[in-house]
Amino acid sequence: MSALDVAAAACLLLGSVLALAAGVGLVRFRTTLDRMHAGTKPQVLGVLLVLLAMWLHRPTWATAGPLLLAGFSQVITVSVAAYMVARASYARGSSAPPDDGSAPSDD
Amino acid sequence: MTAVYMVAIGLLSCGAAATLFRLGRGPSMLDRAVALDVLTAMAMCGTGAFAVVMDDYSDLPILLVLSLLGFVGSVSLARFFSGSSR
Repeated sequence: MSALDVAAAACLLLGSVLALAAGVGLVRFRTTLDRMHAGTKPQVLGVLLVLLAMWLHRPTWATAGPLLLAGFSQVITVSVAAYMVARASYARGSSAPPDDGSAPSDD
Repeated sequence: MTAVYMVAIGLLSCGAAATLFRLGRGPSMLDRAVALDVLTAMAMCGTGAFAVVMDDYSDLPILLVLSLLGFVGSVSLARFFSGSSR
């Protein structure tokens, strides 16, 4: 194994650990926005690390093109989709009645 | 490299199992949309790991298709279930 293969293996393992962290966060966190915070880690950093591992395994321009395209489209579409989901979640949460029913008074 | 592949697939499987739990359990449709998006990203990670370990880069277009597919699914779910369907 060369140094590039070691780096590719490290990137693969780090991306998989991020995916596991996202799964744990999706189960443990309570609200939709918290789950979005946990879920964006493999969506952006994990996928980018795996794409970097693919390029490190075969560092040519012929593989760099599709990998760059996949990475850019993933980053752009994930941000837009997260914006849509967060707006919908926030609108529904703010339109719901509060739980305690009375505003807290701190004076 | 096979040991790395086994460990990576094991971690991805544990994460995907937790995400599937949230996908079936999720109290609102937006939670399911988030879980579906994360599951798509995990499928991309698994495809990339397979390509690296098996030295077979013929599944590069799958990554592009999965990226755009997750975007369409999440955005359409957020649009349809924005105000209702608790």
